[in-house]
Amino acid sequence: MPAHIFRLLLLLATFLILAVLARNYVLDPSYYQFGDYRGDAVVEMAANPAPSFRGPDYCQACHSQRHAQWTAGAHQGVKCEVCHGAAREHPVDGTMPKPADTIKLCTVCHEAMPGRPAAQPQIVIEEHPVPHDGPIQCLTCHNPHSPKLGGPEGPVAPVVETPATAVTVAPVLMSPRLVSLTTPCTPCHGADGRNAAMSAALAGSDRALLVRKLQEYRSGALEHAVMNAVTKSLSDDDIADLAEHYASLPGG
Amino acid sequence: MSVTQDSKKDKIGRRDFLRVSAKALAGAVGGGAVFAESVAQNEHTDGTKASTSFPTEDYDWTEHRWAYGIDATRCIGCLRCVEACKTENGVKKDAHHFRTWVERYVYVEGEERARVDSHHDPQNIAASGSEGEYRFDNRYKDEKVTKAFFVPKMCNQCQHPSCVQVCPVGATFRTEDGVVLIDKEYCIGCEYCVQACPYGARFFDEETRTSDKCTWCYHRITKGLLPACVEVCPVEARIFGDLNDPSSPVSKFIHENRVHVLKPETGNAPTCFYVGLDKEVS
Repeated sequence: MPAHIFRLLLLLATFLILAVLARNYVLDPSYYQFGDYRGDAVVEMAANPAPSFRGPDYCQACHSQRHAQWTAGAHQGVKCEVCHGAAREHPVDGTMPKPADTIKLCTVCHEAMPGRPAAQPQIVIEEHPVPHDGPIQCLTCHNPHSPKLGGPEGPVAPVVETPATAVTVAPVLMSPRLVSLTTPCTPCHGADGRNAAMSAALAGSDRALLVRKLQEYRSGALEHAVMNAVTKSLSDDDIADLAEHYASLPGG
Repeated sequence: MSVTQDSKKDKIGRRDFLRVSAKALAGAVGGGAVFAESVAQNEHTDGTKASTSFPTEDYDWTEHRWAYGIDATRCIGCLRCVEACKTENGVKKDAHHFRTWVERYVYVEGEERARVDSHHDPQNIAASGSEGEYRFDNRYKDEKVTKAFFVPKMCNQCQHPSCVQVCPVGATFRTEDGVVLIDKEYCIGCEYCVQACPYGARFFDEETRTSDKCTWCYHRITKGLLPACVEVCPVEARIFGDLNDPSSPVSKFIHENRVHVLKPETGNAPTCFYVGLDKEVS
């Protein structure tokens, strides 16, 4: 064999061995495990990242009261994390941010807009029948966990979760007339009149004070968008009965 | 070339040369056989795909055939899906990088073609307040609208994906359970797949210098969870499940409705099935 042919063959062989070595060195061992790709990539992508959205069952473990209210209400199809954001490792890795601007949040779904299906409850923000002069937060009247006013649950005050040690209030038996009278009050003041989180706590207040306040709201002497509207149609008897009722409730 | 021009005078002819070369090559391959062993084992000489079960204890990918349903007649355009996807998958929170999006089609009276916009339209960014929040503005409220609807979009996880076809490095592939994934370690960022996708479902992530797209939340579905967008959809416009299970939501969705896929003419055979598409949606 002539020397130049031998050298050519030697060169070829060297290249070939180098190529095989390089391929073997560079190629991931899991390549071709399942197909023409790196098998480990699938395992890595199945493992990471840890899920951020945990689902309502995760929330229910601690927030059972709210969860029960939510499953009974009109928002039952809207899971916790739609409004509250991803739970991640809450409560271990921090608190959940409370939706602050509910006008902005609620209208993301409920602002009347061409293209939204007719079945979707929608409002024209400027015309929404809310007694107000300027914009007020949706939460003022609607309980986000059961938003329908006068729905199957009736108007429900937002649950103020109380520690297990708190004194439970015995339910007060009310006449049908009183039930209908207090209906507009409970969303903010609570059925027990003790909801100070949203508004004034009424339970155990002075009867005369309650009468005077209600009269002033009715006449407009005291200005409050919601209170002016809900007291407008009250008679003197209604005011007296309401004051009597809330004054008789055990205070917080 | 002396070999071809005058083979008789040469000490070695063309045939001999080829014969010797072939032997030398065979020898060289034999020498490298030890190193090439692992490769040879997995080479598919018979043309079939090697298919072993998924190597984790709790999940066997041969048992699942994931599919996605989108009911455009239910979508309210709230864009919670867009936001949830970004949170779940750590996608950049600006308006121009996204794995899923929602298109709004509006036919204004007197116009033949629909006006189309999505969350990254400047007016919509202005309405949402920032690029990290997503909402449609109400620009058509005073117009005479004859027809309007929303269409959620995302990667169609095609059965014959063009993106996989064009990838030069084997960085993108279709899994046994029907999801097209991107191996970020192998991706060289050539963006050929971004060009090849007929649905515009892929984008380029400048930070990692790799392509990116929807994975149907592969890290969730392999753990028995729903993709984040399906999890947060308040109106059940997004439906997900296993075609192997006839009682899964997506099987029912496909059986009970007349479903369409986007751009069937491409032959990509998507596994995202739509209800309520209109002539201009593609």
